[in-house]
Amino acid sequence: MSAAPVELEARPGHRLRLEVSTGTMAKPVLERVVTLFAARTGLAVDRLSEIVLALDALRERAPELVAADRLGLDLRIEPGCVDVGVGPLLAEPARRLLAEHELPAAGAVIAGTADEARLRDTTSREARLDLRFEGVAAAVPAPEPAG
Amino acid sequence: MSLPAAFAGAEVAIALDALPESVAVVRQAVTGAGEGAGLPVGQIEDMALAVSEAATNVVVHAYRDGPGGPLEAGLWLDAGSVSIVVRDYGGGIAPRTDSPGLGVGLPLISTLADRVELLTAADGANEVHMRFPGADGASQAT
Repeated sequence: MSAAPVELEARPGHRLRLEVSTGTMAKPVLERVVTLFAARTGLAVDRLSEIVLALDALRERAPELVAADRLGLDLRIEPGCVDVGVGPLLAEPARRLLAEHELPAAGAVIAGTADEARLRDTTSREARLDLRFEGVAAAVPAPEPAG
Repeated sequence: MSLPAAFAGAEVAIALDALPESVAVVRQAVTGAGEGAGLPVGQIEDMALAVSEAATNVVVHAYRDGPGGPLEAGLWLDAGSVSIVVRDYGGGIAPRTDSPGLGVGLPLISTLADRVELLTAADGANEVHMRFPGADGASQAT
């Protein structure tokens, strides 16, 4: 028995749109915003670092991936999972990126860190890159009973 | 979640739900932008505190009579200044006798920024415009 895919509505506070110019601001803004926002998932610090690593690899390639010197991200979080939509990107450079298989190329870094990486809404000119990062949400210890 | 047309050309633009935990995210975006622009640490702290106050005003006051809405912030770098705009689509700024805050938000922003304006945008959004000195330490007055 199969069911049609269901698009889950993001709960309040679980989504964010960020656009940053591809100059010197991009690295510190992405690191700070993505780390803090993604930390709400309860993922381990090492996993959060891998998300930042993947997005930093994308940022380094941004001048060839975007048309207007602006890198756009849509973040959506759930417990134990971060979905990142990157775009709009130029379609052909984005395809080349995902075809990179040898480190330290950005495509290989993304493949090595993200659980899913795929292009969608692809036209001859533009595409969006969907990334999914999963992990085990850290268990929050129950408070000690008073008294 | 989408960004408003008013943020076209911004160096950094962010939109997220107006919730208490969103204030820190906006603060980090501004701090990162200041670092990337090479601004002095003291000025980055002033900008971060001012934008935190403006964002907190949105969280506490803007959507108190409704189901909530977005908190938006944009940052622009000019030759001699940094401009930050914080936006919401709530009821606007009005006296509130039951305010949970101390009422020092806007006075504090006015102290930290060289210039502050409260505007209503063409799309109906409430905007707090703040201007700070640029990397050379002096903002360009208009």
